[in-house]
Amino acid sequence: MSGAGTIPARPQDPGPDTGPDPRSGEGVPGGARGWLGQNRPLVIAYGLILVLVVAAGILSPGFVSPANLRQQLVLASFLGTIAAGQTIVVLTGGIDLSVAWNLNFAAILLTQLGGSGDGAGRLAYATVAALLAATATGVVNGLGIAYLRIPPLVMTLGMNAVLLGLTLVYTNGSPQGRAPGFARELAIGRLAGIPYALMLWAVLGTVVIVILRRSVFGRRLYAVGNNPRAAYLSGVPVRGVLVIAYAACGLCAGLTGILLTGYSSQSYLGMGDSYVLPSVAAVVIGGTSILGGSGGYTGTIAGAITVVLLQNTLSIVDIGQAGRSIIYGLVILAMLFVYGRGGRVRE
Amino acid sequence: MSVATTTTSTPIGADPPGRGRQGSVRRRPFVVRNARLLLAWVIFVALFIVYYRQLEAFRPREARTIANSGMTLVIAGFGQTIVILTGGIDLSIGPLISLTNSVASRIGDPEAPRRSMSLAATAALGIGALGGFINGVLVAYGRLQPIIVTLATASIYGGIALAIRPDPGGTIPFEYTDLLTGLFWGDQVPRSLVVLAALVVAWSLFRRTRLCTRIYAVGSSEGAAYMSGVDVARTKVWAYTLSGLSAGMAGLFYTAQTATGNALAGNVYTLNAIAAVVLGGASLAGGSGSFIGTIAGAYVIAIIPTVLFFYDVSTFYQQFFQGLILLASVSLGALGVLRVRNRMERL
Repeated sequence: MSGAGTIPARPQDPGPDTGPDPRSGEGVPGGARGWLGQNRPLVIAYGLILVLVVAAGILSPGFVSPANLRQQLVLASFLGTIAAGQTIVVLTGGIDLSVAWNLNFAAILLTQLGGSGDGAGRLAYATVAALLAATATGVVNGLGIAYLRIPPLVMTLGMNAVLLGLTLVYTNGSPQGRAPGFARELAIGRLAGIPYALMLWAVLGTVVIVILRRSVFGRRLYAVGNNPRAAYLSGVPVRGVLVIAYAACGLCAGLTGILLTGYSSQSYLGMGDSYVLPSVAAVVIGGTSILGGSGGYTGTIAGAITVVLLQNTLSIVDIGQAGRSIIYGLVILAMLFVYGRGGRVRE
Repeated sequence: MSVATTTTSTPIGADPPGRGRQGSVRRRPFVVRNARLLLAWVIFVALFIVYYRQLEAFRPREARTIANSGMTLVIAGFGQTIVILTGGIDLSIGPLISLTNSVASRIGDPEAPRRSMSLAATAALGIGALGGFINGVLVAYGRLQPIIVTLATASIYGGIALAIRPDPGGTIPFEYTDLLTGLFWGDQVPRSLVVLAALVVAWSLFRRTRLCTRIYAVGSSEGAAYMSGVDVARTKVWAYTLSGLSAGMAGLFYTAQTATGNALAGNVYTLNAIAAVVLGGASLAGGSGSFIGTIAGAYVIAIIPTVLFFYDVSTFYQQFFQGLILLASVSLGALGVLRVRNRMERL
């Protein structure tokens, strides 16, 4: 990578004496490293965006026009919204694979209940129903994971299948209704040149970052992700934190469902499937450890933009779905090697 | 499999001391030790009876349909079981099935069935093993998280499959299809049962190898295995290589089933293979589980659509019931958590 020049020397590999704590970033004891050393994942993630934009600009000068870059950011905001929830869940050491059909179910509730009319009361009812259903799914996920100790992967996988079935039965295989006007406006509308979707993302991003960094709940999330037993002994209500984390993830999925419905002006089956793995990729590229306990949403924002830029830069060089898929995988692997390595097994 | 469950004393269901005979460590009864595995078989037998009663006659043809329907998943589950036993996970199984299917459909030539298909089979097994080996090296020597590594390689393998077969097509010789999915012994016995029997024999032989003991050891406690002189990294590489190899075999069976090539068709097997393994009673934390349970898990997943079809239930419910059975099964297995007195053990 050409951005490597700006990055300081690799932080010392934790030798066998210092114990295996490979994760960089917050919470590393004796962190006398500078700002760059502490935020290496962030620097890399945002550097990658720069590299991608420059590369895209060389390949196709039209790509870096303000209008197109704004469009890329809007697309990134959809992924960023769903990845916000994913970040929260991954920080606890979990994962949520049910976001695909959770957001799909929410989107379908919005169009089916909202109907084609624009009556404010009915729309409000449909929107609240969609968001509530998505949050409720998250709560169920959280209860299974926290109280029954079902592994997050299995729990959310099972919920995904259940939601897929529910959606098919509910819509009888063909969703009805169109996206309400406000959802369209939210996804594609602009105020003074700034898309509403970006404003929403800015608000959401600020809220998530403040919660993660400044609130008690945020600190507890990191504590649970680092070591649930230690967190429990320190008085953290571990199970409650887990339930809230998955509920928040469900809410983010529901929000994304509304945005995507607005963007494509309708709901359709399978609209969330192509967002699950990219949402995990955005979190990982953003430097959040898949083991939980380290990372944050600032990186995920960069991760979401990177994933979207990567997809679209590769499409302008006309490399085809096959090549895009291969390069996508290689980039994730490369990012893992840059900052995802675990410690050696010693005891 | 009995050894499997004793070597890994589950902290949750373990008997309190004192109840044992004369202070010796009492081995829990067979049924208790294999509760989850037996539950999977009970569910399968129950579903099979439901299906059987609806039939007018259970002819070899029906036997063949049922036997074939779950075979690909059983073979894929063989590898997934091994990887999950190490405490890892392989998300690249589906794309590897797609890849070997695409390759086989390119090589397959109805004019020269024997030569072309033996070449295709060799290529498929080689590609599968190589793909798995790469996963293993990245996980073991790269010290990266399996879930995200195999997510990335899944993208790569899927991309290669698309490059090899951009559009579905290709013709598989009938002789090959019949060889794996037809009937024999005077058209009485489905050939795939031979494959199943071969896998069961392979598993029972594998259970006796040192490698298998090491795999259980690594899954139970990586640190303890390391301290006992197990080469943890090499064991993991073997596990992932075997998983890739079985994905290649699954791809070959899938090719015989569909008699054509499709670069996306195998992808559903990734999550279904995990579901089959978990339904079969294996722990995602590693160290406990058995291929014998996975067989039941795979056939439960495969028989659900058939049962729904015979009872005139909308196929829309298929995913719903698959998800529900998966969640119900893991919840039953998790009920022990509610009895745990020590709150630390719940975390």
